Amino acid sequence: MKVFIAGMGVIAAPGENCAGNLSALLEKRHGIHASSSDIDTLMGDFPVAKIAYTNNELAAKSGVSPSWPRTAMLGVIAAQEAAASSGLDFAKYRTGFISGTTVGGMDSTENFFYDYSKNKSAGHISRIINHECGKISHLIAENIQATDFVTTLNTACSSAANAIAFAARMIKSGRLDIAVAGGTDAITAFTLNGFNTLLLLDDELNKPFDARRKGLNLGEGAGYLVLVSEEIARQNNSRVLAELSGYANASDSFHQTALSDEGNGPYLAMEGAIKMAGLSPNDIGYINLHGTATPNNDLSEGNAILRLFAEKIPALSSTKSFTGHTLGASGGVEAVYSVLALINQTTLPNLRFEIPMPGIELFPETEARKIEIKHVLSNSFGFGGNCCSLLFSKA
Amino acid sequence: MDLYINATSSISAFDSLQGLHVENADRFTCNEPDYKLIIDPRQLRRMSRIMRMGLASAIKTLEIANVQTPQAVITATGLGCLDDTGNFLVKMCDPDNRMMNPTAFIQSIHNTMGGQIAMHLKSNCYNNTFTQDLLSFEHALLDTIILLEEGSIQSVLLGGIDELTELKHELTSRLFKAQKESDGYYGQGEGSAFFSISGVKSPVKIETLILSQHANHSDIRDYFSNHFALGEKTLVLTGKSGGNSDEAYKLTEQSIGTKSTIAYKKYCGDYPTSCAFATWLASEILTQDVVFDTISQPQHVLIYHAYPDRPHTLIHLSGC
Repeated sequence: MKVFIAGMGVIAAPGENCAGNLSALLEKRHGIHASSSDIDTLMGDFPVAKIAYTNNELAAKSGVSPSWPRTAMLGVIAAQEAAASSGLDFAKYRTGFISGTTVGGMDSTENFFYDYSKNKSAGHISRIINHECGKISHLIAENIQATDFVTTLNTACSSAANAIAFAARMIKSGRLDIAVAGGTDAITAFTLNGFNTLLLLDDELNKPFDARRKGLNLGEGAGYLVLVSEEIARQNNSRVLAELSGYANASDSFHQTALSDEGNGPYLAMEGAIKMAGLSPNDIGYINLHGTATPNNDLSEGNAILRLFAEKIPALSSTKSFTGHTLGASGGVEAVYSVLALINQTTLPNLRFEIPMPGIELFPETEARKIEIKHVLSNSFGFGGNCCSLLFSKA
Repeated sequence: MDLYINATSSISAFDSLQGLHVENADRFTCNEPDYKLIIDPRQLRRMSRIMRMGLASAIKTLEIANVQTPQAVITATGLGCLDDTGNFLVKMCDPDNRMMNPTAFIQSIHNTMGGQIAMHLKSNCYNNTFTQDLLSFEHALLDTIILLEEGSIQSVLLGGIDELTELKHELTSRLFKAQKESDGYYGQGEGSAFFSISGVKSPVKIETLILSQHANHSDIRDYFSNHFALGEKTLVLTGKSGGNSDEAYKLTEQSIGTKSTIAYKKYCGDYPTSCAFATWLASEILTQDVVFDTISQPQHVLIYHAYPDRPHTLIHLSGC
């Protein structure tokens, strides 16, 4: 049984829908801004890829209550676009919503804690009721009427990729006909400060896979695919954008916040996804890298790619040079980007790449380049050594 | 495919089937084991309480199952690593004293336990973490069942973990006050329960997992009626908390009728992955020769959850 993509939606700093993101990518317009002072006044000096809309503006755009956490608002915008673009009537089928997120309703929880930290009886307690990651999915699923099965995965930065893989397995095992799957995460002071304590933030624009890279820029966004069973793809003239031909999850099992230098987990995830599709590494036309621009990730991912693609290195790039690192959403945002690359038969640029990493002769794409692509691999690796790769093929 | 619970281990407020002692309490805090006997003390020093609880019950489960490395580690947690999340938040929100510690941030992520278990086992296995508030454990069990049905792997380590912290207790109490929670509420709880699951025949069989997709829960009501018609000795464990949300059980109460029923949260307290405790309790009841709450040796245990605005769930375990 095969699983196909019938629709998709995305919002990230470079654009608020698929078309807007594609033109930004092709025209090399990134969405990373100079200052983070509106997220945390004491942390003003870091570039962040924040979406230009306020919470009230996002609420007005999506028609939801402004009391929703920002993570849910970003998610519902991408999920609404995905649902509409599929042209499918979800009510006619068993339709689920499967989402990855790491911060959940943290932005709203933080607002409570700023008051609470001054006075323990202060703060609106209702601000924490949507704190749980699962509440975010519940809100979005109800809004797009994909409620037959709703679940949430939190495996750090691979959350959305794991959500897409699990959704495919729900369809293949006959438990769902349609699954809207991907992820959403808003920028929060919690994650900005967290990555800063780990010294993982670059105080300049990030430089994925470059020898001079210093760290990541935090981003936010959401990306969802509408996955459908083979039967639905065939009947109903439903739109088919691509096939999700492979996926694999593996533990790197090295360190809580670092990948092994040789990239065991990344290697196994990529190899597993390619094997599932019955392909060989030579068949892969483009890799959308995890490419966070931290010294450790890019080294580990680079080494794994050199080993697995020893015969022929595919075109590759990290679009985090446009979006920043959208954490739990990144697998969803980049799944949409991967399908856009496949549909448009184009590589996507890796901004600010100039010098390859020492000992790792990999040269990411610096321009959008028209090439023949049959298969695109998308990588997501997270804390806890959680690695997941997705493989998209021309339908 | 027939699936079995080959081994289980739990840390909870509940001691053992022989020594029932927990009653309504303000909070149900775990009776924790001496972790030094289970986890390398050098590792232990750096671990938060929820990590200790999770890793210890995972190690115990694998020991009992005699499995060295499971082929998948699937964890469920409703609220994740609350102690580290809370510590980081409180310090971050105090502008005069921003002594934030990277360890708290690192260990605040929900898949900390799953990642730590894989690292402890030095395994490159499949690893996933579900967090769908009150249904997290059922969804992790669903992934377990699908993985084993797919046939590429033969054994899964499954666990459900949540911790109760001072801060959570304080804020939830405040929220309940605002929501006028009933005085009958048993109390907040916490716990960790792990399971080794495979197709290898064992005394506890997983008969079914139903996640209702019907607004009136007719699938679950039908399952109850059909099962009870068989006249077998059955115990029902419900996730009632003694609070306002128990209203949601009304729809199906008729189907359960006068069958032996236990509201298991009076032994472990109320927390998002308490279903993992119920599954552990059911496994113990099915395999140990004890009289528990006046019911001796049932052949079947049905674990039933009805939360407002959520699909109802049913897990059926049988002794064999």
